[in-house]
Amino acid sequence: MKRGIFTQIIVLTLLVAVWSALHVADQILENRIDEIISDRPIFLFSWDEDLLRDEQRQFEQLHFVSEAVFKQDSDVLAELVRTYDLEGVESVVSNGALPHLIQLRIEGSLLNEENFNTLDFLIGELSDTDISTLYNSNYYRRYINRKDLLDNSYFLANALLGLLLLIVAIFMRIHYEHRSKDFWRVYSRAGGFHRSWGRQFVLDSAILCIIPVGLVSAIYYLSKYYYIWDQSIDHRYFIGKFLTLLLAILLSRLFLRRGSI
Amino acid sequence: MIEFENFRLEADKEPLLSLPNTRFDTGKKILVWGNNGIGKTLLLKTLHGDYNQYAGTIHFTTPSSILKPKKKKQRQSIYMELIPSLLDNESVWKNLTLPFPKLTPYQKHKLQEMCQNVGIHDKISQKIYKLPFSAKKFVELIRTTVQAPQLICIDDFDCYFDEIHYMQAVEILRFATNSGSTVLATSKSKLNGFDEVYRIHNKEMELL
Repeated sequence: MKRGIFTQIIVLTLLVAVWSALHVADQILENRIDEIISDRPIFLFSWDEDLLRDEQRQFEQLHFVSEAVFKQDSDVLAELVRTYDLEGVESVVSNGALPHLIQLRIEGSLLNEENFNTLDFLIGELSDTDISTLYNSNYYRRYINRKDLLDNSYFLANALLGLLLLIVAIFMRIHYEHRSKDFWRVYSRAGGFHRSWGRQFVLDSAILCIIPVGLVSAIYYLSKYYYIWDQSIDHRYFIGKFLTLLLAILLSRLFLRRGSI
Repeated sequence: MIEFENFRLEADKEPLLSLPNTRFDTGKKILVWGNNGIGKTLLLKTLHGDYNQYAGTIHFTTPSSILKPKKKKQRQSIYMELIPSLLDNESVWKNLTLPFPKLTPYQKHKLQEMCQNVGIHDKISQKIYKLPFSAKKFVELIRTTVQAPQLICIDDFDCYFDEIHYMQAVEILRFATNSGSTVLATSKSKLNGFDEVYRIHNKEMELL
């Protein structure tokens, strides 16, 4: 019987650990996509400084734009010289030969379908003005699709792992209770009190609900404390796993009628 | 004390055995004997609560709490079938202590002492399946008597032991009755060592 409980604890702990690792993996992938989106700037060029200043103010108001920096033509020239090591070119390039620009950066975590459409519309509108753009709509569209795919996969994986945990917990509980049937029959015949089975069931259930989730959450919070990783798992996820195990126990109790044990 | 009032045992709605007004006193070893199929086992099962096709009333009277302190959670009856109820892959000691939620020093002492008396003390750590049938039955008997239930029901008591072992078993039953239990055993023939012997004949139970 003790071996049965031990086996159940190991299997359920592994499943809870895999489920928790899914949250971490999802966060790592999502952060990576957000970083890729945020790293790529959008440039708006124009020789009309006032027009660009107006656009800068407009883009600054968008909550998903993390950066909207205006750069004078002289700043652009200095940056080109510095970046491409073009010493002496300043004297050749006449004043006003280069446009002013705005460098936009998008907050990757806030870019969704709706925000992307707003951005795409605003930048598309600029084609009627004297502003040129360096903006690849397909690039953002591709990463939004990846984010959607990731979200859907994450949701599906959560549902499947939750279901797997539920089914495994129910079947293991029923299996080991049936295996202990002989024990309880002999125990009862030997003079043991009939309530002992129920008491033992409650005790085992408490152990099976608390230890797997407790162990995994303890490992997670200790890892966080010692900076092993930065990803955060919402504590409600652990409550969700606990409730899944509790549901499994309640369902298995329904199947295990007192008379059958 | 167990009192039967117009008690009539039935099987498939046919009368099997009647005990018009019979009383089993507390602390007695009682033997009921008779042929096969006359209701001995069903009588034990009825008293244990496993069989309910009967007419009349059975009264269980516990000893007065003034004369004897009431035992906490005392089991009403333990029924010993022909096949011993033991965990084959567990040790003798585990089987002996199985129903005790918390073994008191007295119970532990009595278990060890009885094992010594019947010669199984050196097999205490052995697995049950390695023991001969009579030793298994001793394990069950010792475990039952040390619990001191109100009633110990033993089916086919003549099937388990040879003459020497039989005397040892009766000694164990004596300890049970001294502890306040009533022992009710059945057999196919008359046996020695019992305080009251009943015979079932013509569907009637008569005191010899």
